[in-house]
Amino acid sequence: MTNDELDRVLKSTAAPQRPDAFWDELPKKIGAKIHWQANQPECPARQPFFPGKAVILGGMGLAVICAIMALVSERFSASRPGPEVTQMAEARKYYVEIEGLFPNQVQAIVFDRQGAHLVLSDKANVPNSPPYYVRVSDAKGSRCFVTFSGQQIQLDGERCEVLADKQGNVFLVGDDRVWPGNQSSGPVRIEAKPLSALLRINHANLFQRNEREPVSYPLKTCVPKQYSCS
Amino acid sequence: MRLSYRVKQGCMVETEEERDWVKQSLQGDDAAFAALVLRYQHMIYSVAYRMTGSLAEAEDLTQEAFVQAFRQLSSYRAEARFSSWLYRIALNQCLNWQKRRQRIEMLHTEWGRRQEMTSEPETQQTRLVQEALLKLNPKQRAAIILTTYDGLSHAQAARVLGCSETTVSWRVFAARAKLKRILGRQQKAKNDE
Repeated sequence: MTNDELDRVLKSTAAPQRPDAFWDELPKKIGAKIHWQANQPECPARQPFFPGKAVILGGMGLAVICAIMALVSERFSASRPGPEVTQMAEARKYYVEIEGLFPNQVQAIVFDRQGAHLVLSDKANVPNSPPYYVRVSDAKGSRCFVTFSGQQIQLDGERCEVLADKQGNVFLVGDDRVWPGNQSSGPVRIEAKPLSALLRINHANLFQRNEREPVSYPLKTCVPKQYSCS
Repeated sequence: MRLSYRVKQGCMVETEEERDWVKQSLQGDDAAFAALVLRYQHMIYSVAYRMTGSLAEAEDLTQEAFVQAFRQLSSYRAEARFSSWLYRIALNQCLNWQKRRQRIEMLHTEWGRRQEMTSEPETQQTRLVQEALLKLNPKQRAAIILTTYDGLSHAQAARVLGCSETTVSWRVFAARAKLKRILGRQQKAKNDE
């Protein structure tokens, strides 16, 4: 069933009709309900509560606990992950949730200034492969992608394919040039790594796909949709 | 005061007239609030029915939505559309209903009552579509109702639902996928008979 067919089916069904008298009476019923509720007697005012000794002591104890927690948090703040790892963790979280909702349909998840954008295939035909985290930084800012070997993105005005070898090295391959992951090329800096390796999580446990090895595709065999960086 | 309108389904037209009615309602003008009810009662009733699948609950929720709107009228900001603001109140009522009631038990009771209350016989197609809608997660159902039936854009629906446009897009996508599966199975079963 296509989206248009679904729309036709959905829109062909109207809410059950009600007689004219129903619509004439409804405003009156609503008005009556409003006035009835407005005329209900108010609850008697509560007496002011004077905090006893127990409440004051409890409040002081809570303040002490909060102070201790603040100190502990400050002590461990150095070991907190940096913003980059936080971003990758967020990307991983998005991927896990979305892959669960749309198995084998996710072509890319793009993170830019406007937020997260999802690129999905119409059918569940995206091949099994582990996800890769690609970050492209240039003068306009940086965009991050979670995508897969064989998918295409647009980089610096050029369409290029994300390819990975069996060692997990990622390359962005354009018509006449190749960007290895983790290198700068002119004004553009690219970081591309397997998402699971970045967070030191066992790929086999994290992802439920059957294939565990990255799959590399020869150029031009798959024609997925592309997402533009610019 | 009896006013006549031309109500377009799914059309949310904000007018100076409505803003005046809101001001007058706040000053205690019952007729002004009744005019707002007359303008939006069909829209809110349709949303309530599609969210609940129950005529009786749709009527109750429609009334409750307008009563809540009256109570919260002082918090309405003229920068936002009155219809969006009203939609949000109505949908919150419907989502709260979902949590409160045992839906299946109510639908069985409603089935008997429905035979008397509808002036038009409900077609099998209508019933199947409504049952499919009720199988959706309530937030997905709200998203599909606003975008498909009421013609809101994803951005407009996001403002009504109080979430991001991306979230609305995902909910609509997931809802459509599920509806296609359910209605596709029903269609196949019908063809096999």
